[in-house]
Amino acid sequence: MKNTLRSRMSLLHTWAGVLFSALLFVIFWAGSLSVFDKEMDRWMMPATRLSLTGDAKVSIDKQLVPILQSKAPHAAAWTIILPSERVPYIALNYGSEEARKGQRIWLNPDTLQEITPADSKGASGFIYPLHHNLTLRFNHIGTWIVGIASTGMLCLLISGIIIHRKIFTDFFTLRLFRSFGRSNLDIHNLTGVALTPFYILITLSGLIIAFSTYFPNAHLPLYAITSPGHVLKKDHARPHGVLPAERQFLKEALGRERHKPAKSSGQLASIDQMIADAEQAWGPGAVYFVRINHPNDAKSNVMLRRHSHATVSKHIDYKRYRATDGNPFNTFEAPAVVKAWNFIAGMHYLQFKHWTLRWLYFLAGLTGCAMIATGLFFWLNARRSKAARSEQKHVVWMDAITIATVSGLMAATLGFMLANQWLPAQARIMGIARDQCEVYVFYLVWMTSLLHAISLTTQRQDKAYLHAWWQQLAVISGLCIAAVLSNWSNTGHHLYVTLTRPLPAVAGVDMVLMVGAWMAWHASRRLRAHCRLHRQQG
Amino acid sequence: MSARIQTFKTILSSLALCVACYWTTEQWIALTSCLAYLAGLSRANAVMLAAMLGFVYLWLLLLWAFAEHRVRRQCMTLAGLWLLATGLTWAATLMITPALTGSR
Amino acid sequence: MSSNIIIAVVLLQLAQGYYALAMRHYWQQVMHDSGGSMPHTPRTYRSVATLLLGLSCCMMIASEGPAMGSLLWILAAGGSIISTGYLLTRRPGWLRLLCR
Repeated sequence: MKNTLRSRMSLLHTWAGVLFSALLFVIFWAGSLSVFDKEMDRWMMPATRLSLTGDAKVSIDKQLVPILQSKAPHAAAWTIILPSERVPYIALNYGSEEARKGQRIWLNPDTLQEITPADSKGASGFIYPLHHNLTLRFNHIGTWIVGIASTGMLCLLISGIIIHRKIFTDFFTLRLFRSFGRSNLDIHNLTGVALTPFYILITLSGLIIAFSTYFPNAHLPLYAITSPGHVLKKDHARPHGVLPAERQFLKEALGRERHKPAKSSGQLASIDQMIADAEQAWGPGAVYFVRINHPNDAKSNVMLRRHSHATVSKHIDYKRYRATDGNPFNTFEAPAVVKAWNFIAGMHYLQFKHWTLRWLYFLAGLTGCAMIATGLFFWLNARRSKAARSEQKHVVWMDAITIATVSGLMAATLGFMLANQWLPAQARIMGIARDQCEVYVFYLVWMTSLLHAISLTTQRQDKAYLHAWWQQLAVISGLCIAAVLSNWSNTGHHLYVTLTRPLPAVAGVDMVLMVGAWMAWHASRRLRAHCRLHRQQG
Repeated sequence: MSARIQTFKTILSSLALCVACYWTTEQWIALTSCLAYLAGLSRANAVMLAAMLGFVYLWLLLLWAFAEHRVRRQCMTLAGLWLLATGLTWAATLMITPALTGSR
Repeated sequence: MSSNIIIAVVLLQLAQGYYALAMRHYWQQVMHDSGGSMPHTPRTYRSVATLLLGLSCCMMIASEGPAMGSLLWILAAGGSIISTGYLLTRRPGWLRLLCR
């Protein structure tokens, strides 16, 4: 092969694709679902399916502080998260210095009745972490793996464009009724080219969000000189082992700082007044987050943050008030470049209120999944036709991995949702808590899918992998229907109820499940017919 | 067997290339943050700008490194870029130290 | 979804349709049985398409603001490319409406 740019990029595209595709599919799938993580939470936590009326104005001083005073007067911090359209309940968190949000109470904003904890991680507690760190938190291993795969994705996108021989001539070409290889490659090219700007934007922003993990020494040239502790050892006197230089950088860039308590008792002034004061600058109803650091201490302070519903940027600005007299003493506003970083982060976090854009993100994410999967299919199809039977061991294994990655992951997600519906409340199975059991079901279904795929793809029968595909797709279809019916039977919230009450989050999840069931069933039926035809011909 | 050795060599050299690109990027981030500070940005802004640009540097470096087939040229260029960034960062640090330890 | 967004999405779809028609092989695909030569030059189609593309971008930005508008436009543009590809393969005759 000639060493041309196209041939080198082709090699890069092929092998980076083979190496990262499965991982990228997991990241894209979990990311697409995370677009609607709060809506999935409502589906998985029926007690939180509340319709926010917006009539009742909660008084933090009169209604919420007494609850926290009675539950945790000596906590290191109290956190109050006010309800919003997507999270329609009041969340109260409190805990020690090490786990400031260790304990939680959820309240109905209209009645202030406590909501029974769902005992489930929900999508925001499992699918979202799966997206950004694969739930491997130890030493940021998961974040690093995701970062490496994302960098691979960026290289794949550019190399893919370079190796596309007829990028302009075949710009709209989608030959769905030709051979599998042709139509598959057309889908790969079209979905790849059409949404390249989105893929670059979402991948690069995902990396930029976690810059401090990927480039942990970036701050050293400018901060080590004034905070030299970094070269010696960790400053164990400081909580969480953050080094002085990094601490100073985080304070200046992101406003992260902690004030020490006086360790003598103090009064708590009106938080409602503080919110009123902050909302004079930020606009009515802007405050959504209240943190009372060292409550009942003479040096207690109250930090207020504003929501990011109306802007793409994810606000990190805050105002701090002295808890004892209610006077503001510190306002943090992100510096100019940090604002740009917030904007980039906001594009990825998608916390703004824009339903059209949210659905488009979801669909674009799923299109990304389709692009990755068709890339894998292309590689497999090309190797399958080229390699002799004896040399196909690697193709067989790659086939199994692809099936487990694509259909297995979908089945595992549905297994996770079904486990959430059917595990008894407060259940402990072999000492494992209920929320953890849901996660185990996810991995169990995923492993079962892999074993099923291996058992079929390793058979000597020709096109055995197709059997694995149609069978798993049929299971996915069944699981989707089972999930919708389970929700109906366990909560009574069938589609008519959720559409009329209205509970749009639950209705949306149910409808996506039904569309998914139809698509999986349709694909399964087509593949099964293809298998039958092949058997008759063979 | 020779094919296996060749595969092993390719994997190792690709990994080495990725690590070399990452190290070079780290040095260029350091240089960028110093230059941005010298250009008048605050420390926090300078570091943020450099860290964000770092991903673009890494992306471009990786693409260039895998597009280049001459191993010698890959090594020389990456080493050269690393040395250049390290040297310039050192020089820039000398210039910014008084400002950092002073009143600014 | 505001009416401005819907109009902008329609304009995007039309723009991609005209871009497709500006390419001879897609033109032939659309006109497979009726034949005939292009009534306008490819450059004319491309100019109209670019105009529509710009107009849709302006509409989205005017309607949703520069940040959300441009995000929306990038995603909707991607969607319209895919749907044009789908139209060309499933219902190429529909694009004949644009030739008049």
